[in-house]
Amino acid sequence: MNYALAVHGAPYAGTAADHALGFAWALLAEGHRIERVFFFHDGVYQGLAGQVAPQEHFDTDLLKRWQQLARQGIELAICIASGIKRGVINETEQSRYELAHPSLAHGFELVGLGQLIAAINAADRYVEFPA
Amino acid sequence: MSLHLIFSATGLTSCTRRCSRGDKFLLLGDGIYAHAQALEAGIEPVDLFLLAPDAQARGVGSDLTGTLLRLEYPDFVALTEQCSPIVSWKE
Amino acid sequence: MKRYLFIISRTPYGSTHALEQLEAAMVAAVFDGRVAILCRDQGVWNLQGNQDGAPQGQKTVSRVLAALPTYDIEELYVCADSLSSQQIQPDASLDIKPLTFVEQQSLIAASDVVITAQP
Repeated sequence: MNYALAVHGAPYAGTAADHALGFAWALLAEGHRIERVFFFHDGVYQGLAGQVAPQEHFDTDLLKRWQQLARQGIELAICIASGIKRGVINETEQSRYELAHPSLAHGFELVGLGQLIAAINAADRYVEFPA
Repeated sequence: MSLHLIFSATGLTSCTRRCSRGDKFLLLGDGIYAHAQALEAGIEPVDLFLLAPDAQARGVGSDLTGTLLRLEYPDFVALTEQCSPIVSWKE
Repeated sequence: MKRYLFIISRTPYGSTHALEQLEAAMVAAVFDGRVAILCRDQGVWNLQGNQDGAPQGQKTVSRVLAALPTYDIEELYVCADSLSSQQIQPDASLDIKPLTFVEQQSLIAASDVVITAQP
């Protein structure tokens, strides 16, 4: 089956990433496909470059885990509207708004809300991980 | 048949007013703490599941949860294959 | 055509939840989804009349709700129990259908996709 996943929580602030990553890897192990992982609301912070995993989460460097998933060809899509207002910007937006630095981590891309809906329309299942 | 993902006790309350007979319920995150409340709300034990790593982290052992089935992530995936829609409840 | 249900559970203006749910709902409709919206608990305050977001520099949420029919979104529901437990004076221009819990059960069960977007 084909799945669309949504992550709404920030890294280390709650369980959204842990649950989503655990679920995503289990999906792939069972032979399912992931149409897209879409990051919305505070979930966009998952795509911020420069995160340093807290010492107490020594086994859970969330950014690294997301990037490992991206290397499997899974699309990590940050909602552009939610992202840019929180400072999660790629080089295009950096240039557009004349900002000092891009901040989007490798493996993620900024997309419009239409990409969430397109993913859900293409998928058999939609699973949401709240903050 | 829907699958309800319960992330908190408040989420459970909101859910149980709006769910249908035969639906499945997975407690995860702080929803684990609402296992007794879930049974009191009339959810059949056979329809109620706990996410194993979350229960273990919270020290909620089988002495408290009896015969409720604990799921690892592959079982969670299997549940989502059988159910639609999948609804998340936190508040 | 997928049946979408967007659930709004938070007040307007205190967070972006309601507005972002409505934006997503409109996009879903544009992408040929059949869209329903349910306001429950604190989300019923989105239906309050006389809203004016201007002094806060924000979009007036009830006006966004009033524009939903232009996106072919006709199914705007509210939890009857939540409505009666708050002192809401619904915006008269909105065509809102109150639903009992049993009716909400059916709505959820009949949906292909339920988006709750709880922040």
